[in-house]
Amino acid sequence: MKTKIISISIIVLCFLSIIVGIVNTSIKTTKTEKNPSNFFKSFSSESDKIALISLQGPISSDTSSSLIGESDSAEGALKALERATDDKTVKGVIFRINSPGGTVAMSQEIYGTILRLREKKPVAVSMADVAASGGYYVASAANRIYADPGTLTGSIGVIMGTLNVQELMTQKLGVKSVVIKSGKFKDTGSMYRPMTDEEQKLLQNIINSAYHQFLNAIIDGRVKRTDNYKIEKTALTEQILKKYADGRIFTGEQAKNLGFIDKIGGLYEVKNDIRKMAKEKFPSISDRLPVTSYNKPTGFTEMLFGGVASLTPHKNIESYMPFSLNYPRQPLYMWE
Amino acid sequence: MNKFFDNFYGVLFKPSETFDKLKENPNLIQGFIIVVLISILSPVLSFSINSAQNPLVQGLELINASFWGLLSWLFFASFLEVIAGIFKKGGKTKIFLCLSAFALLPWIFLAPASLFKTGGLLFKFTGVIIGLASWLWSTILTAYAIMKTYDISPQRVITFILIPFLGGLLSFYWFFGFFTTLIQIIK
Repeated sequence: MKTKIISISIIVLCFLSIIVGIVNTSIKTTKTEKNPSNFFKSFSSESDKIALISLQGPISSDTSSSLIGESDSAEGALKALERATDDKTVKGVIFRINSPGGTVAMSQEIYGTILRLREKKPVAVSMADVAASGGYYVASAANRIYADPGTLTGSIGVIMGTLNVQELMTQKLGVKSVVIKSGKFKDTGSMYRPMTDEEQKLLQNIINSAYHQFLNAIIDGRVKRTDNYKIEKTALTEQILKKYADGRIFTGEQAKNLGFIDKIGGLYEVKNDIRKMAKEKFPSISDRLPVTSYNKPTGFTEMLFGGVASLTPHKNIESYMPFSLNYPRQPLYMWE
Repeated sequence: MNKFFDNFYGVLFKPSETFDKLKENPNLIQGFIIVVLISILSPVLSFSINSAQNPLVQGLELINASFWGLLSWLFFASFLEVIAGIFKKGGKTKIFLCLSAFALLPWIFLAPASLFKTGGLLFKFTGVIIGLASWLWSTILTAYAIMKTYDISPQRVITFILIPFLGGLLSFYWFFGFFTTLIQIIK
């Protein structure tokens, strides 16, 4: 009899808990339209936050990086930025860059995503060791740029590299290249023969075009930026930009003096300032929002392969070669 | 019905004795009902009676949860049966199905635990603690169920659980270690 009473009491208690829980959830969902999909999800933190998104290494849409990619690769960072744009719980973004640059298109894709993101919420870039060339290109889309005094940045310009191995192939190895092409420019930049003047001119035009795109991006992102955040910002003029956009690199301190970045400071300063910026944009939020790493793997495959990727060695012989030779015949926003 | 209440009370508070009794007379119908009820608990706890949720979707969610709950139950039992078979202790699927279903009973305490998130009666933290305690309780009971079903010592139960776990890890590194190296070579 005792066991029956205790068993029934436990079952009734659980049943009543469910009823009370459902009624309570209903009241909450009516008030907030928030609909937690499962029990565990409701315990997890879905509260407002500042997203910390990292970009490490060369900027490129390397297909291998999407298979066993790291979450802080250019592809991973791009996905995280896109998620942060639509995530209503993200009230501000810190974009941490440690990159010597990379391919033109991928840099532009990340730049465009940051521009869209900053329409909705404040974005601050924190430069780590290096944020040069394409690294600076993507940074220029943010509301504010922070760097340490010794950070290397700048290197505004475009580079393209190729090899000429004709002598090695023909004279040393006795191998001749045979090319059948539909037009005279089809194998422009081929490593099996010297480049003609006409081809050089053609490639130079491409470089110039990409270079002007770089300048225009900085002008749109930094020179013409309009925002109401009261946090420190420095003005960069078109004259200064054009004067120093010759491929040279700057330290963080030099970049601050010229207006290429807004403030000297590390992650600590960025965290403090982005909270203030978020508070200005969304007055109802807390002024001590947590900063959460946002490069998380999203799907099962990425979680699985992400773990494997962290176990693989990152340094190989290619790491010691000039970056541009990893991307031959491609214009690059890359600091060599 | 009285028998169910006895089993219910017994599994929670006198597991050793009750598992022995259940082993002699395994009741798969009661086990089936427990698994279904525990499986639908999570979606039920997130239901709302206002118009924000579609009753049809809610119904489908319950069917979906029951289906996957039952499938996991069968898979778990079959999996352990295979492992037990390797050590010549197999042939007890029916008993293990019954015992492992009863071992899930502590999960019902997630219902009162959910009040801590919906009502804000205390802190969410309290709910998490109750949830974790239920999980731990259920895990211990499952280990007990394995022990009783296959007549093995607690040390062997740990080995029993560790073997598939370590085997899984080994397979993971075996396969992915190889493919990672392969990708590194052909990249």
